[in-house]
Amino acid sequence: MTVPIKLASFVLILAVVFALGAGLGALVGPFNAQSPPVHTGHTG
Amino acid sequence: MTTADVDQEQLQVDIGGMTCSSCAARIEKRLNRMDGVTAAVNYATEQARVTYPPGVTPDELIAQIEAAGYTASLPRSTSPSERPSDDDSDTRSDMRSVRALRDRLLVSTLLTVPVVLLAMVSALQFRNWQWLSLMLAAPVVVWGALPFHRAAWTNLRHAAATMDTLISVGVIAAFAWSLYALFIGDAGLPNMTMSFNLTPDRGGGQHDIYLEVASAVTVFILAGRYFEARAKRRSGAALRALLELGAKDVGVLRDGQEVRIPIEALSVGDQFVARPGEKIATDGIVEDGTSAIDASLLTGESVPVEVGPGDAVVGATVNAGGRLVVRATRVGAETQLAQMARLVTEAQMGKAPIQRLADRVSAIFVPIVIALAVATLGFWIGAGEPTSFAFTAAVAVLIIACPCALGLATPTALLVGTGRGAQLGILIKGPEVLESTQRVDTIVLDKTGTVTTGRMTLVAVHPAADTTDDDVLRIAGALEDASEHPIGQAIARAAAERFGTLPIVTAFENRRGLGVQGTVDDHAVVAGQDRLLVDAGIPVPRELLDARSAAEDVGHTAILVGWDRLPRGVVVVADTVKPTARDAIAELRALGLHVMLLTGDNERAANSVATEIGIDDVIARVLPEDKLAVIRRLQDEGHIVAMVGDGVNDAAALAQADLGLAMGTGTDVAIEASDLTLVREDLRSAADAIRLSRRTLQTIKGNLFWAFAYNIAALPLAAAGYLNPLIAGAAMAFSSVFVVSNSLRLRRFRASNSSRDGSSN
Repeated sequence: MTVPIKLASFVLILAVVFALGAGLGALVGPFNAQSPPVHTGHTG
Repeated sequence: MTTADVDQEQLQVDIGGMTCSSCAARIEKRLNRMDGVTAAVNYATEQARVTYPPGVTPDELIAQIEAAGYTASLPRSTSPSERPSDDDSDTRSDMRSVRALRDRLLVSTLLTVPVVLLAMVSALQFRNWQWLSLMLAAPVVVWGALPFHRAAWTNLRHAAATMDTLISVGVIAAFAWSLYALFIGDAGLPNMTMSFNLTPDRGGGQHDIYLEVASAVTVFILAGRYFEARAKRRSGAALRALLELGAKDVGVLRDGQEVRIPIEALSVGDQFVARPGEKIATDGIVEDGTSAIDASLLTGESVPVEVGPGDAVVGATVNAGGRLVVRATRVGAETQLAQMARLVTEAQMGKAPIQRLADRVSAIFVPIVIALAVATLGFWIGAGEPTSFAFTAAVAVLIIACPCALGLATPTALLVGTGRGAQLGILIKGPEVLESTQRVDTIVLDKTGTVTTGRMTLVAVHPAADTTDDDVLRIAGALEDASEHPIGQAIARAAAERFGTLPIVTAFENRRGLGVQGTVDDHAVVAGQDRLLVDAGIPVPRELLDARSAAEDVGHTAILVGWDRLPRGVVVVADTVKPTARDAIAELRALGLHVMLLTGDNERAANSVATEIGIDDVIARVLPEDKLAVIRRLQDEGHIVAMVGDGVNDAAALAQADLGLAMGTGTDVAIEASDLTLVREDLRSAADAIRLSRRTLQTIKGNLFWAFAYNIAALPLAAAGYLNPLIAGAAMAFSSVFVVSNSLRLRRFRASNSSRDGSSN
């Protein structure tokens, strides 16, 4: 496999992984909907 | 070096910028794609040997290498006689790069220590401390880790991932995140302190900085690289040691006058003088004088060779006897010594490099981590979280995936392993060596100096009728006591051991090439070859001749002794087998190795030694220059070969072998060409060396596992968005402590036989 093909297929795999992740997130998400806590001037 | 072949040219190219063996493979592939070009690229020596047709120019070859993303240049020196100076520049550039690495490490460490202290000790976190951290960490991340970024970039262009990629990605992710948190998030507020709470705070990324992680990882890995670079073998060292063996200047006869000139000025046809004790300047033919030549440095053979007019002598051997006048027949690159040097470099060049274990692991780990980060990003976006949170989690995955103990895994085990080895008399050259010991399945032992002591000892005395063996040994020993020949010394030593003081010899005369004669206890004694006895008017009976040929058949040396015009007996001496050789062979077998004996002796002699030590596979009648070929043949048959040797003539074979072990009592050249040096004469340390190396390799593997384990355990937390600097710091600290203490366990390694010193401590 030449380098561009190798890179392209890796990017493609990443896109698929991203899509899978997004799909899984969409499935699980509604049961787990939660906004990140808001931080204002964290002081420890 | 450009040498014209039939219609092909050969060229050696220096290559820069290779970070691992896959780079070498890549360049090789690229060059080999060109019509008629065959190339072999060596990662260790950073050189390529290219054979190319006349239609191709060196510039085109260099352009190809540069197009692949590496630097290429032709070696400056093209004449073989200039090689030593070329080597010096190699050493200098080696030293320069190690020094540059050390400077990088020192500066980075100085900058990192306050960053880590500020992050870990809350009491030190003064107002706006985080901005000082940023100032200190920025140079470390950008300049300190530059070698990793550069290597990662080169790798990326070839769609490859190594340890450098992992480090670079981790360091950049941690630094980029900190920049984001400082400038856009709220970590830049004047009264910010590090949140060291044990309950992870989801999505806390915007006020957390990971500057200490970015800098500490860089320093740890730099430290590991520095230790490795210092231990890395210098490919030119064997060659240098070899060329240093030669004479530096020579006394040339010009119009009957002796003039001293440097060795380089000597040309073919010159007549030169070799005095007793001096090295023969170059290969030549003896024109005048007789002497004994000690070639042990080159051949390992302990018995000097007698030479006279018309005999050929080899440069760098030592003139042990009288004054010789020699006509030079070969000089410079043509001499046997230079040819051996060439064999050694070629064998080192052709040796397939071994990919670093950490790189092999990284090659799989890096794509997985990147995929995991992308999946995390996708998951949180898909779950409807804000994009900033999804990014926090994805970057956290990249930050935590870069294990700082990764840089310590190999060097610490190596430091402890080599330190323990040194106590046991085993010197290990570098991490690559350890990998070879794991796979070795065949071990080839050179006979002289390795299995045998390389020193002559008395084996037997065969007295003639009417004489006792005590008489023969006492008289012969007394006579030989005056001789300096190793055979004579062996007889004298044995006699002195048996009888204490020996009679005084008078009228001693050394009959060069034949033997010695003198008067002992009023007897006129002769000892040596049959011709000497015949000259002295002593008939040699059949039984003594038979005893002599029986001894010579098994590779022993027989000396005929006679006195008062009568034959008295035969004294047999031989290079004896080391007392521990048999045990050593058994230990090597126990390690699962197939043991072979390699010798220049005839089959009977070789077999007699082999039977004595319990080897059944013998390769006999091997000329010194064929040892390399034997190793190659075994490798072609699919064996992973280790070789144990000591002589200069073993050097090329040692370099060719997958694992070369040199006896420390051997020559510098053999030691430089080998991977492991056994300081003791004891062959059993070869088995210990292999066991220790295997154990060290196992430790490295364990280290790599634990270096990754803590970070991998933290990966789910990062993916869930719960990563905080405490977790990242803890993973860093735990894995580092574990790796170091795991390496320290190697100190308890014991040699197989507890009676040996060093093994009891």
